[in-house]
Amino acid sequence: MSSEYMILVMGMGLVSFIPRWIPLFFLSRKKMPPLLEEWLDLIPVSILAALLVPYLITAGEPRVLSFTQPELAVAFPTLLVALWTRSLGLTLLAGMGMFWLAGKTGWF
Amino acid sequence: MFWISPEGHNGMLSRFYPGIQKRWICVVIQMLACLPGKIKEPGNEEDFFILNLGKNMRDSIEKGIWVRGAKAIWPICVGYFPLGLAFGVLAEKAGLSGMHIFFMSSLVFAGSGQFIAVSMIDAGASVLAVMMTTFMVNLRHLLMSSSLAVWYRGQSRRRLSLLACFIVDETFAVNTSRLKSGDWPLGAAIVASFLAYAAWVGSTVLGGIFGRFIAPSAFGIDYAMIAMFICLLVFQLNGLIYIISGLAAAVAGTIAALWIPGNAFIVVGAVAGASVGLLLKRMARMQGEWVKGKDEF
Repeated sequence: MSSEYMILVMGMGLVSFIPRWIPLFFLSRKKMPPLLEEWLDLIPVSILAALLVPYLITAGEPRVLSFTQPELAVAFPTLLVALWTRSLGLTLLAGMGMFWLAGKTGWF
Repeated sequence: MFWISPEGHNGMLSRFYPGIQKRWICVVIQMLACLPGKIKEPGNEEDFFILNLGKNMRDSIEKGIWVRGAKAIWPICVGYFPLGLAFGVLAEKAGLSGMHIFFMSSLVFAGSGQFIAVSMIDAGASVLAVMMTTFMVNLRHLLMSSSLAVWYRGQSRRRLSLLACFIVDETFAVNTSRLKSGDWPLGAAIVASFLAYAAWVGSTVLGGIFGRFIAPSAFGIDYAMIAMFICLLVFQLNGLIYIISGLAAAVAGTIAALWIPGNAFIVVGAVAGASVGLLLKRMARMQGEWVKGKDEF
């Protein structure tokens, strides 16, 4: 293995680790201002929504709005399964199954 | 590992050897684990537990955090497999061997970051450029780490550093949903996150070695991640303010995704969504009448 590759990978590891580590290491000892704490409480839902929704309704490079992707169509029944079962495993299996069926039957 | 269950007698080992006692299993494991170390005061049975390694192991066995962690994280591990295989195939096409992939996955552990890095390596980008891009792509973990710090205030810094190694979108989402729904000790979070990490490293290496023979879309496995994120998002919707924040983040994220290339839209959307939510919450509290406090939402 070339040493250049090892340097690259270790550098990538370092720059990935530092943003993950600094807040957990330092903020866990400080009393945070309540406003920041409330803001951070809203971060998980915001990250997930900002991750998922653009993926479902945009496509292409550069991205444009697109509401005809099979990913989006399958997302609705998957959402119902998630709301109904509240189980990560079942949602995963149902989503995979429905996406596979949608491809098989050629609806899209 | 799974015979070390909190149920003891229901575990696999106890099923095969009905007479065996959980306590003795612990003692044997610790004797093995502590062989190179020193036992301070011989003659006392409890002395095995003086050694940190042995004590931590006994604690983890008794609280069943391995089982709890595995139960929480297994769908993530399943979902990682198609993604990891896909990454392995791509990396192999870019000229990386199984060993190269192993080092990258185990040191970096970042799905999208690694995909981008491999395509940059393939295109012949410089080391510095790849590192800068990785940094930008993984900057969103800063928000996740800050959010987890609220929950784990005052915990051991060594263990928090260990947890920090494994923070990615998926482990963060699972850990926060568990934290919100009740008792979720730091040990269980570390175990769960570590298992996801192991699944990622294993699947990417397998993809690099065998990926050429697997059709990427078999059985809808490429939908695993999306289905999981949908469910994880549902877990987070615990009240009106969370729904509002999520909607704001979705709108802001989509607009950002249309405007800026790359995946900076995740950070833009998340910051905008949480800020809108906070602002509304504050305004509502100032009006004071229809919202009494945090718990009302």
